[in-house]
Amino acid sequence: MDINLIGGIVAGLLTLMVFSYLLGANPLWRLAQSLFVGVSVGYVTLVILTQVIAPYIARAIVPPSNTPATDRWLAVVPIALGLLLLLRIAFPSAWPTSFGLNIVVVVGSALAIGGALAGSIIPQALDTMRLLDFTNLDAPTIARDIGDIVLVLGVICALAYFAFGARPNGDRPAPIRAVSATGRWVLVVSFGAILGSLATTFYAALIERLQFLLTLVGL
Amino acid sequence: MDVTCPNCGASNRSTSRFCARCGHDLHPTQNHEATSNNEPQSVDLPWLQGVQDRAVLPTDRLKADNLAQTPPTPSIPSIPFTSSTPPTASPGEQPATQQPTEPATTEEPPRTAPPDEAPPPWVVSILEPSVAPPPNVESYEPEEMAHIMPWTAGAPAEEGEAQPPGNPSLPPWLSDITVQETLQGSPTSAEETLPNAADLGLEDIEPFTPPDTEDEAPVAPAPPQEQEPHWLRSLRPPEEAAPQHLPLTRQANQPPQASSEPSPTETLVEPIARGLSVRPPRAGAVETLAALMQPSAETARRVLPDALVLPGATPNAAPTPTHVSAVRPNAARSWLFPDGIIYLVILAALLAVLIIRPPFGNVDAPAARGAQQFYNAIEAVPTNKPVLVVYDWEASRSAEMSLLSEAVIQHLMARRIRFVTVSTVPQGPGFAQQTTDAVKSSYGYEYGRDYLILGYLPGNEAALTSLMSDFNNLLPLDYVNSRNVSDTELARSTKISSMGDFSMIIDLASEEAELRNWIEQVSTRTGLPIIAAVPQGLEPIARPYENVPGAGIKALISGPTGAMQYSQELARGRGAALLNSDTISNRLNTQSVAQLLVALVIIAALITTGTKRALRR
Repeated sequence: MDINLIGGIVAGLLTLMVFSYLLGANPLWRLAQSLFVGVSVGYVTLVILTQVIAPYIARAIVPPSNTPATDRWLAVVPIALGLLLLLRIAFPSAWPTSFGLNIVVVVGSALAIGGALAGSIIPQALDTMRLLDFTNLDAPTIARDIGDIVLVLGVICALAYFAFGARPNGDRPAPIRAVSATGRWVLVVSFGAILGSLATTFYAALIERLQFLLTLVGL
Repeated sequence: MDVTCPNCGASNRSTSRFCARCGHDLHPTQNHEATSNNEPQSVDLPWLQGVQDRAVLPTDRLKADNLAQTPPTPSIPSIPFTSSTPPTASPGEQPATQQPTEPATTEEPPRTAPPDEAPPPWVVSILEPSVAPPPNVESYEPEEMAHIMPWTAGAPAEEGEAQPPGNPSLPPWLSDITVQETLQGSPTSAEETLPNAADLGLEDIEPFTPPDTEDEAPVAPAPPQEQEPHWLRSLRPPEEAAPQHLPLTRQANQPPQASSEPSPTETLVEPIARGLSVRPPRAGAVETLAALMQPSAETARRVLPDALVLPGATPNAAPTPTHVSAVRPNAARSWLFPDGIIYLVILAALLAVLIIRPPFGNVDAPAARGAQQFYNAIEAVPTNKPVLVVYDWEASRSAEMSLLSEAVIQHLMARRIRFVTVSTVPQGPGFAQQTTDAVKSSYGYEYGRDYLILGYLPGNEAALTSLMSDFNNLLPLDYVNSRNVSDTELARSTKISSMGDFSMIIDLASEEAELRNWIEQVSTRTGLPIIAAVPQGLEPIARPYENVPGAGIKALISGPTGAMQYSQELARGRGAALLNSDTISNRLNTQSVAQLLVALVIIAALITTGTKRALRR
C-alpha cells in the first residue's frame, strides 16, 4: 500500500478524533491530543539536539583545523552555562545554577527594549504625526486626509483611556472622561477587528481539514 | 403599654425612647433631663450629634455598603454618654473595650475633646459615605442576587397586599428596625423578631462555625454574660430553639435522628457537607447572608452524588435508576440546544459548499493593492544576491501559511533567485523542506546549489542580533543533509557571512512576536527591505508596520485571499502555474459562507438576549 495513502488515512482518522471534542472530552480526543503533544515534543527535541547542541559540542571538542584558539575556548562557554543550568535539578537554590538563565533574561530584555523603541514605538509615533495634504483636493487625497484625522483622534482617545491622573475625590474632568470613553470604544473596535481576523484564521483551518477529509473519501 | 409617636403615629414599645419609624423623641422631657444630667461637656462635638441623629434613623435608610464598612455597632451607644473614652479608635480596634459602666482604672486624666476635633474615620464613613473610601463589595449579577436574597428579586406580592415601605434591598422583617432600637433591644424584642425568620424558610440554617476551629479546637465555654454586649444577648435565640446540626439528607420537617454515633456514610458526607455549607463570612457583606443561608438538606441531596446519600435517611432518598438514566437524554439535549444545532447547521453548510462547489466568486478579479506591492517587491530583487526566507510558522497555521509559502517560493524560482531559509521556531525547517520539495522540480532547482535550508535558530532577540554579524557560526549546518554550510555550492559561489549579504528578507510569520523580532532587531539595524506574508489573524497587527519610514515592512499579504491574489498576479506576470486556483477558490467561497453563518448566529443571539432582557424589565 502506498505510504502516502496510509499517511492520509492516519491523518484523516486523527482529524476526526480531534473533531470529536465537539461532543465533549472523550478518549479519542485525548489520544489524538497526546499523540500531537508527544510527536511535537519529540520532533522539537530532535531538532534542538541535532541542530543546536551537537554542533556546539562538536565545535568545542573537535574544532575545525583553522579555528583560532580563542574561538575554541569561547565555544566552551555556552556548554558550561548549559551544564550549570542542568545543575538546578540537583541544587535548585544554588546561585551559580541560574547564572546562565540570568544572562539570557537580562540580555534578551535589553535587546527587546531597545528593539521596541527603535523599531516600534518611535517609528509608529512618528508615522502617526502625518501632515494633512490640502494641495490636491481629489477624492483619494481627501480620503487619506480623513483617514489621518481619524487615526490621530483615535490614538489620542485610546491614550486618554490609559491616563489615570485623577483628582483626590476620584473624579476626572468631564472632557477627559468623554475622550476616555471614546478611547474605550476605539480599543473595543480594534480588539474586535483582531478577534474577527483570528476567527477567519480558524475558519480557514477548519475548511482546509474538511476539504482534506472530502478529498480522502473521493468527494 | 405601647406609646404612640406624636410625629408619625406609629406604635412603639413603652421602653423605647425614640420612634422606631421616624426617630422622633418619644419622651422629650425625660430625655432632655437624662441628657442634661449625664451629658459631659465634650458632647458638644458637632459630628457626635450627627452620629446620634444617624443612630435613630430607620434601618432601611442605611445602605448595606455603609454597614459593611462600619465597625460593630456596640461602639455607637457609648459615644454620647461617655467622656472618658472619646471615640478616637480606628475601625481596626476593638470597640468592645469601651465600657462606659466601669470606672477608668488608669490614672490618665480623662481627655476632653475640643469642639473642632475631627471625627474618626469610621464616623466619617457613616456621616459622609461619599467621602469615605468605597467599600470592597463585589458586584453580583441579578440572578445571583435573586439567589442570595430572594426578597430583592421582586417577588410578586400577594394580591391586595401592599408593598412594605422602606429599602427594597432589606428583608421586610429588617426594614422597620432602627439601630437605636436594636441596641436597646431586650430578649423580649428578640423573641418577637425571630419568629419572622420562620416565615422566610430559615429553619434549616445552621449557625456559622469557622471550619478551622470546629474540628480541632475544643469547644470553648460560653463567655460570661457580663462580657457580652446586651444587644448581642438580645439576639441570642432561646435554648430550646437552638438549631441543631441536621443530617444532609434529612427532610426539613423530619425530626433529628436520636443516634449520636455517626454512621460510616455520615462520616464520609460530613466533611463534604461542611465544605459545601460553611464558609467564613465577611462582616456586613452579601456573602454573610449567603453563608448564613446554607443549603438545606434538600439542596445538599441534589448536589451530592447519590452514592453519598445516607441510605434510609429519608423514605424516598434511595437512588432510583430513573434518576441516573434521565441524565443522558438531558446531557444530549443540553449539547444539542442551542450549541449543537449551530455546530451541525454550520458543518452541513460548509460540507454542502465544498461538495457542490457553487459557482460564485470572481476568480479573475484584479489583485488587491497589497498583492501587487508584494509581487512588485520580489520583482525588484536583484538576482546576484540571495534572498533570506524566514519560515516562522507552525502547524496550527498550516492551512494559510502553506499556500502563502508555496506562492512565494514559486515566484522566487520563477525569477531564478537563490534563497536561504532560516527559522526561529523549531517546526520551521521541516515546513521549508516540505514546501520547496513540492515545487522545485517544476523549476529545475537543486538543493545546495540554488537554495539552502538552514536549521532552527534559538535565542530570539539575541540570536537575531548575532545573526547580523556572524551568520556561519550561528548556523553552521544545513537542515537537510547536516553538512557544513560553507561546503555547499551556494556558499562557495555567493558570500553568506552576514545579513548584509542578502538582498531581501521575506518573513513568513504566523505569530506577532516573531514578526516583530525581525522588524525590530534586523530590519531597523541593517536597513534590509523586509516583506511579510502572514495569516489573516495577524494582519491587523502587522498592517501598522507597512510602509513605516525607517522600520517597517515594504509589502504585506495575508491569508488565503492574499495567497490567491498573489498567485493570480504571478500567473499574469510570470506565467507561473496558478496555485490550485480551483481549490483555493472553493475554500474561499466556503469561508465566506462560514463567516456569513456565524454573523447570523451572533445577530440572532443578540436579538434573543436583548428581547429576554426587555421582557424581564
